[in-house]
Amino acid sequence: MSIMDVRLAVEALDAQLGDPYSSANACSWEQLCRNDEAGERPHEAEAVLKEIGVAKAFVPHEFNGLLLQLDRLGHLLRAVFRRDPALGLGFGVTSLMAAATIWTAGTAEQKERAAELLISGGQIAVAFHELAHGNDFGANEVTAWPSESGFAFAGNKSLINNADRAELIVVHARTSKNPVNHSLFLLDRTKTAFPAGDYWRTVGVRGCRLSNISLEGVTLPDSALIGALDGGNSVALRAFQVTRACLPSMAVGAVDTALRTTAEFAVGRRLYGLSVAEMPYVRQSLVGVFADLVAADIFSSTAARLLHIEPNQGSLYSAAVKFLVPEVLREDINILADILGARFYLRNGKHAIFQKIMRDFPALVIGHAAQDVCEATLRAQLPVAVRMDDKPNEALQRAIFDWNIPLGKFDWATLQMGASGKSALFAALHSGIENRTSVDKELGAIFDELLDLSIWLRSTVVQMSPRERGLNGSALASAATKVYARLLAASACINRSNVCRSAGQDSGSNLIASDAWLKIALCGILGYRRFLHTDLVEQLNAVCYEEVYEELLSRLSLNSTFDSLASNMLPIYNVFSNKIKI
Amino acid sequence: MTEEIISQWIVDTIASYLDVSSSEIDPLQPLANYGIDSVHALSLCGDIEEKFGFYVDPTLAWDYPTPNAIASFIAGRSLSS
Amino acid sequence: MTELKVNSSELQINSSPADALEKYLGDPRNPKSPISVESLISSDLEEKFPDGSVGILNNWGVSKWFVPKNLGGELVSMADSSHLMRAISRRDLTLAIAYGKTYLGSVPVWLAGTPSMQISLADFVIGGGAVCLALTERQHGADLLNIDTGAELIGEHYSISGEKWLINNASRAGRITILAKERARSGPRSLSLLHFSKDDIVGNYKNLSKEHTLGIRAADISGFALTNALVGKDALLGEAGSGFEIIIKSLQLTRVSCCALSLGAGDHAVRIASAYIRSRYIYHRLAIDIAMVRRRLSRAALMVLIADALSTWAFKIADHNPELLVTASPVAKIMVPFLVQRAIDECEYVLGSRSYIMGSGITAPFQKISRDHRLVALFDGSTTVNLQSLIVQFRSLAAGFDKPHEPPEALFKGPNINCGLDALRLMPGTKTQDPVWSIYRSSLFTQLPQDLCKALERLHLFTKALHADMKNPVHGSIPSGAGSFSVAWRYCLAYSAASLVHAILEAPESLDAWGGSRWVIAAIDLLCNFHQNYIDSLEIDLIPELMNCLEDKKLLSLDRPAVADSL
Repeated sequence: MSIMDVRLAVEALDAQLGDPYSSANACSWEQLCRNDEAGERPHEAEAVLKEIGVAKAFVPHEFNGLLLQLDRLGHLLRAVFRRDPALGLGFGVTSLMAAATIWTAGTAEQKERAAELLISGGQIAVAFHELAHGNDFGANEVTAWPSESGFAFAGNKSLINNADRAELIVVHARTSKNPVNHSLFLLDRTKTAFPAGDYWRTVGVRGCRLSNISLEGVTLPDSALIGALDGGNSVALRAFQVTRACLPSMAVGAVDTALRTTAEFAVGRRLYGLSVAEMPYVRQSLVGVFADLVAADIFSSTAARLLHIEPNQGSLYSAAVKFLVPEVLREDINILADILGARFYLRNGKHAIFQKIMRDFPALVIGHAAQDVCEATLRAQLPVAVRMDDKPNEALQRAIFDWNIPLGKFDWATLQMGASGKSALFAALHSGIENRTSVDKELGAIFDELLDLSIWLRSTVVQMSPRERGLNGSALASAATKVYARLLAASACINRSNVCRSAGQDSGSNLIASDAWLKIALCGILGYRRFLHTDLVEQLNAVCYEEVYEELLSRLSLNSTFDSLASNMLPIYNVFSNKIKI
Repeated sequence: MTEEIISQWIVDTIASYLDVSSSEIDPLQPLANYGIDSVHALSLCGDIEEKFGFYVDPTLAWDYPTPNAIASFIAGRSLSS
Repeated sequence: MTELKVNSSELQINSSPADALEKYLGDPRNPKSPISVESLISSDLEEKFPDGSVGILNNWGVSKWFVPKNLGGELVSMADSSHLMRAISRRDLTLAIAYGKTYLGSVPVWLAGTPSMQISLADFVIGGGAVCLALTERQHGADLLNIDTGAELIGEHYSISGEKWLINNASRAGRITILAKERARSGPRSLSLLHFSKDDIVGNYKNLSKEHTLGIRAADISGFALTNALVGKDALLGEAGSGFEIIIKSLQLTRVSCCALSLGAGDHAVRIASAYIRSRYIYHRLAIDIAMVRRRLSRAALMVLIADALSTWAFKIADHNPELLVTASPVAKIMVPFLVQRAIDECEYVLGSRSYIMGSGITAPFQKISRDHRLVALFDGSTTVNLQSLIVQFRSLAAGFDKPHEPPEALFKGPNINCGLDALRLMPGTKTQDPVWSIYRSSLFTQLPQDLCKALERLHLFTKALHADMKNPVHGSIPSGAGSFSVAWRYCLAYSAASLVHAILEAPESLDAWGGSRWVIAAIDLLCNFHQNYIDSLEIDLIPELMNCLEDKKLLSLDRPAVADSL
């Protein structure tokens, strides 16, 4: 499936979601803000998603779903996140997390049951979280001991999204006295009566219902096991690589809306005799955020593709995306808030969606593989991370970065818990730089800095003691981890840009192919975006920013997305049918 | 490589993670007793691959709790590959 | 090399107003305290203005510190007043902002009002009255030169028409300080400031409805609309057409007073996170025992300490050398909220889910602190506005940098003063170097540990390169280019580092109180290399000192005064 097809699918979805600006529309920003203000689930919007059948995107093809390629999944769900992150989370993403464990290790029966539920518009809850243990699910205390009728449970889970209504719940429980031995179970509410507690009030994602559930007295048959006994953490650490790569890709949508809101304001607002957007500082900030969104899209989509192509490094790629992208996006929201001024702080009015996104965003970061967890995963495996082939496999590289090359359906069985082998993406940083033609002085300087960092990283990793990489290790290991993630992101951007230069051009690819975008994106990857004052940036020709700003304006006026696809949110043509194709 | 040598290598590796001397790690004791966590397990996974050329799941330390047991597993894997 | 003398600060006999207020307000964790965190959280949730808490502050007499001593108040030192406000902002930013707004609205009157106006306002404020400062408008935001609200002199009255929007205290305030345009004039000299009581208005006055905000939800953020509203012509502050100048100078003072808001929020957030990690088990050990967690929290503490040092410097300037406020004020207004927001963000990572849920327990206030504090960067002049105001000073500051500095003895030796309008400047002088850079005097190097001297040398290089860049004529172009903003940020970073060194020199005991020179060196290097993500590799551990603050009930600051807090 080509990029063009993906774009059409996303546009079809947006068309069915309707005009985000129209207050009458259930999936409009205004209506979703109203839901949020009332602290209620966006029922009408969910009904629309159910009607469209968006959840089919989570279900593998062989079970009548539409899930083939993981990068497509990110792009499609991004459309929902552009409307409302709480909608995305409540309607689907936590279901995806749960389903991922089932697709990875479930029986055919379990898969069919899950598929059927999702396609009919139901939810699956994912019950890992215990407040006492946070992201460290290896320490979880809910237990399930063998009993006459299967397994007898004890303990509580907290802050479980959709626990009140999900027909299926994936439960993570300790099943062995060994310190790290848990299993996953599929609790079917139609067979086991099961109430949920009151829901927690949260700062954001107020449209989600996060409740505690008590598993005291629950018994489940042996057939409820997902995967092998005591294999729960293995399943989770494999399955969640998919969500770690895909969730940031979807989250790009939330910041797309924040950028749109801010840019519309800046263009329309006149201060000191100029429109706000005419002020170079503002303009450069808007462009920087735009460049970051495209880069985040490319990085997360590349990682998702690599789960198909190079699953042996999946543990690293997915952790790197989840580690870096949310932090960049959060800072971008802060930069946009500065531009939006007082209006970023208002809960009503034309720009109210902004503060909602600001409040919702942390939920996408905290609840699942938060930054420190990802850092721990990366640190531990730094030696594996920087292993690369001297001579990269051209065909492999092509498959990674040419998004028109189809990857076939994703094979969940190929996921592995830890990373092994060589890193094609890390190697591609070097080959991508080498292969780029007509590199001007500025881009050359940026490339030099990247290559220097690569040398620094590799020598640092070699000299680093294993203890330094552990949880109680050094800040040096933290810095190395950050550099590694940045270099992967740079590699994805450079190589995707190279492909866009040679491949057929379309509206999204033009920007990515340009030196202007690449320079700005790489500067943001290398430095601290807000301060904009690396030597590199000061040298950057203002023309670069103007070029990308023109593209930003064009997308704004055409209602096109600020990502790699440049899809139209308000398509004027009626090519869509009632079915989404991926 | 004999199992004994492999086991010693495991002991040395674990000792380096924990920043203790190798003599403090008993090859017959479960690694979990020394506070080896899932993060260490990931490191071990990578180091074993580096040393022996094949990938092992980080769950190795739970399936084969002691350095001797791991060494036995590795020796067996190396033979068959 | 002479050793630094360390005071035995444990024996400090504190009698500052802030200490007294801390004792009076008691432990905020105790629901029975006059102002408890629990009650403030619920009024935030319900968006109910904390009238009761305001009443308590009035009873104690906090508002006396908004009024100069010579008018019957207690305002003598910005430092004292700010520390007083910090005791409030430590507990609740909504309350601090709502209550403190009265000071903001009063400053123009202290600077430019007639004696009778001043006396009248003094009585009003001491009596617990609230004032609002009405500058911004819906269409023009902070672009004060282009406001629409007009004031026309008709005989013995001014007739005011227009709408002011997003004004803190607009509805509850009894008195208004308002910026309006006299149509007969043009340009910057068309603006006049007026101050009057709502009771004195004859004509149409209407409150606008409350705006619902992301944070400080319970505050009165509203506005008002005036239609041909008549007030006496003696409501004019200063000369007709001097409104812009008066307000710009007033803002120099009020922006510095905002520091107290951030410092309180910073203390509260880091305090909560510190208490949390003491008892939180994760990865089979206490969070406090995990290096990654310790580093995050130490980074947060470091940023609050830098913010504290910068604030202390700014207070000193306000009190003793107000002619330098033109520079110190925007730097403080930019950096203090920025650093504290970063600190809060680090704490958010440490707290995980508990930063997000509205529940009970020690972490409950955190989500409110985070939302409330986001406004402070915007409050009273956004970061962009303040950076811009620094850019226009580049030429003067760069010229002054090459000049000799005042002898250090001359600094801060004047009496505490309540400055008048003339003491404040609109541009820095070019005849001497800004005293913040006086740390580069070679005589000082003998007083400091060697490793700190080396860090100082690095800072000096950074400062010199900065001032060389400031000379670039490109910074004179309007509108300012993005590169100019970059240089302005660097100015703020260097200035903050220098103010930290001043703070250490002034109070050497704070070096050891926070573990020796390592933390100062870390701060300097962090600031000089912020844009290069130096923060990622920052090896710093301030956890023992943070735990001491909790156990000894000390504020998270360089001087660590006592607080009433059971966290």
